[in-house]
Amino acid sequence: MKLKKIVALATSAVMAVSLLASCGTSSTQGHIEQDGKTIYTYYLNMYTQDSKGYAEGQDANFAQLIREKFNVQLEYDRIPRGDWETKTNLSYAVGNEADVTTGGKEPQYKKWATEGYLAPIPQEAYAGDDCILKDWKALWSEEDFKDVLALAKSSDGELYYLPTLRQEKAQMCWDYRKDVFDQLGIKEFPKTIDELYDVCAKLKAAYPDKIIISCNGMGTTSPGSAITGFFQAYWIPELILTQHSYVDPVTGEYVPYALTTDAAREMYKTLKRFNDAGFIDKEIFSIDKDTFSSRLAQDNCFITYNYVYNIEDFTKKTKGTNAGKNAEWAWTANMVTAYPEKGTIFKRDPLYSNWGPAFSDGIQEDPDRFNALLNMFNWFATEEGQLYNTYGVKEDDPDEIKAGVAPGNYSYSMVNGEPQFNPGWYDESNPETDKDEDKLLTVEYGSMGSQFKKEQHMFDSIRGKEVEALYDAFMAQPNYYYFDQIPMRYNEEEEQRFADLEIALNAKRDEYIQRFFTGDVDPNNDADWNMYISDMNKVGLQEFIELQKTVYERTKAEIEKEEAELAAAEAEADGEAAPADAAPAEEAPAAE
Amino acid sequence: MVKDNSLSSIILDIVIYVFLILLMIVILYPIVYIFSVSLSSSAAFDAGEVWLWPVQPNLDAYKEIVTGKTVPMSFLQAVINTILYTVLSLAFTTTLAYPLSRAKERVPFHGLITKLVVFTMFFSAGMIPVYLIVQKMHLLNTRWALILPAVISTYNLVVMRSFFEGVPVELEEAAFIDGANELTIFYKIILPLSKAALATVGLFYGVYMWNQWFSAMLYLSDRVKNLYPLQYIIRQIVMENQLAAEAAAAGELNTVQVSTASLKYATLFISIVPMLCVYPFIQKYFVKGVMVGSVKG
Repeated sequence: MKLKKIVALATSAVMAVSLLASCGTSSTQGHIEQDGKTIYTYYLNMYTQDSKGYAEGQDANFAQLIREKFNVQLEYDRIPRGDWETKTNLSYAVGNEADVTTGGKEPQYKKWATEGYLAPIPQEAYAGDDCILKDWKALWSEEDFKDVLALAKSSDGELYYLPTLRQEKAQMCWDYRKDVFDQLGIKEFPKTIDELYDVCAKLKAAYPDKIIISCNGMGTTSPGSAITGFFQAYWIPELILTQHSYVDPVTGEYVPYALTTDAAREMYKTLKRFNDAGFIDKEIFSIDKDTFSSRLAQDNCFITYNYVYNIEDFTKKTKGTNAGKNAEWAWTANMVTAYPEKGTIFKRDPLYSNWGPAFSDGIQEDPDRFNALLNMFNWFATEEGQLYNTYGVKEDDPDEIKAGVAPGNYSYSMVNGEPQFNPGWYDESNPETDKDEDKLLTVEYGSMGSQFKKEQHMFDSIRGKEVEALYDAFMAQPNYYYFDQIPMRYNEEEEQRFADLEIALNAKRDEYIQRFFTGDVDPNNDADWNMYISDMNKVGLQEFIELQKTVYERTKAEIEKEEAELAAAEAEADGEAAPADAAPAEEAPAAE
Repeated sequence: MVKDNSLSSIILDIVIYVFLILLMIVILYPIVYIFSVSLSSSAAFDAGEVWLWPVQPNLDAYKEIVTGKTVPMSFLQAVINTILYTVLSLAFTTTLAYPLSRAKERVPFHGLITKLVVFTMFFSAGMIPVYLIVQKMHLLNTRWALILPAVISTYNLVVMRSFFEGVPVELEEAAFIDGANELTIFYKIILPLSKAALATVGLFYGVYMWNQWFSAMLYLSDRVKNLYPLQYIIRQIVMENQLAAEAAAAGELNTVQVSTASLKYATLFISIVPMLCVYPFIQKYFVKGVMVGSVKG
């Protein structure tokens, strides 16, 4: 008996020790002295896009450049993109996290910030005209930058990562088979839900065995992501599946949990009506990109809510091996609305991409070391930095930029004032080049690329022109509106409660989206609709709504205060008196 | 054996044959389909023309795999890991299972060891403590990080122990009388009599390691990407569509390269070939082995 007790105690002790062993401490790296200079060293965690590899070692061009220009030396942990989240979470848990990571998304960063893993970026680094991050800040207009800060900051009012510029202003629209529309004498893409129904009926009459509307879910996890075109017809934002609530762009009213409102019920009714008529792909909630491509190749989709710049690809896939086939996809700036008298909604893309570099807590112990790194990321936002990250090195670049590059191995040249890749180099905008055969900047120079490739000429060559044309076309339409993102800053306790409730609500919501669509539950039937609301209440809908309302009101007040403080800090940095009224007036985001 | 020619017996035979044929189709069709898509053109796949035989057959996908570095290297790594792991696991499992299968009086701390072993079937330290141990042992970014933490499976250990318990102890007594020691008995008598169990448990270990990708994700980094096993590469290929959508949603210009359907399916087919080849050779042992421990007395 005694032996058994000893064994039990020993086993418990082993388990406790093994658990305690997981609570490690952050490793910090420092600096080295080289040629009379202090070179700051960092461990950087980043995701990779493919298996092509990077030029490693301190002799690579990028390594030499950042050492010469910013006194920065990086050691990398490169992680395949799909595993980045798991591995980085693990690194924080075991205490061997990197000094800086460039792979995260805002929600992850906010979570890690709350848990104390990240260092806040000091306000003085982005306040004033002469701050360290002045070029990064200048990626946005002054007004837009205020909105970026309001959205990207965490619940403690601190900024924990550097958001990157989002170049697309609008990219989602209705795409359709123009050749089929022309053949059936349909002159224009419909503007209202009723018109859309009539057009689908015409198409169905002509092609009774075909699917009319299909879409792949853009790689996200909710089935609702495939029907966001219908959301917007009922004035529900495209991003509602993650944001849940919105502010009406016309009335300014805050609408909590939009997918249980009367407008949502009308949207579900419409979906069911379209599905009952055989217009919508029965598998729309589950099909992936490959299956969607098959739909195109089999003429099994005539309308889809998708990216504006996918048109050429859709046409190519529809033609398949038959180049002579008459198939033409087109995009339209006509968004469909259920409330034509009120107006029409389109999706304006966020001001920033919520990916970017974040810094581990330990880095703030040495401000000079932190600033050297911020300085480097600021350079990425300069014209010179964007050219380097996007196009690489040209022959007449300064020595510090072309350091380590063998003569003849320059990646681009300026032709008629515009950058152009030299022959033999892979160019994302040029389909003649081959990623497997041609030289890559990452492989030759070791540059980071990815989210830092923001050069405007390249963007225009890839999709900028289509995106700009779509945005201009939306803005030219009367009574077209878009939703602004609303900042929501949860404290630690609220964030935990939000996460718990969100998981339960999302599961129930997704279940009902599918049941309404298939007719298993009928949104036209009051009893069924009440059952949905009742089920949502059972998993915490009312508490969720209260939580969101509280956080919304509090965040709004905090942001007004912060904007006043920032204006004061900027005025002080610029040597001026603070303006009396720093908070800007809110504007309705209408396209008119 | 008397053949039953009654109508009911004939009907039953027909039903059984039909059922087995359907079962065979259900099992074989996905494999045939994967093989056909791997040999077909992408356009034919997109057009929905491939459902059984290859359409516009070509070997482009296999050529791409063979000429590329990633898949052949990861295939080789998976083979090395599987062989190494299976051999080591069998060695450790049998040498622990054998003493535990013998009388308590012959093995010091027999009861304690058994309890500790069984304990691990119900409780595990979890991912983070195991990671820390791997890290402290300097196994990160080595092949051993994939092999050593999982070198003994308690379930397989229990199967082996049950099998050894069925070997008559009189054989050992006779060997003792003839002058054999414990090790000689184990290698010369027990193991040769345990081929069925060794084949079965070896297969369990082999299949486990062949399908393993999670530990590669945890313990290997890009610095040693030549050590990535095949299943980890396949996982990345399967995730490409999702990652491409993610990159597009993030507004990145350099999109994720997405493989063609034929390349994906060719890689998948290559990954199942070794297991398809191994099964027929150990099938005879497998039938005996899965019965291990099922009937006692």
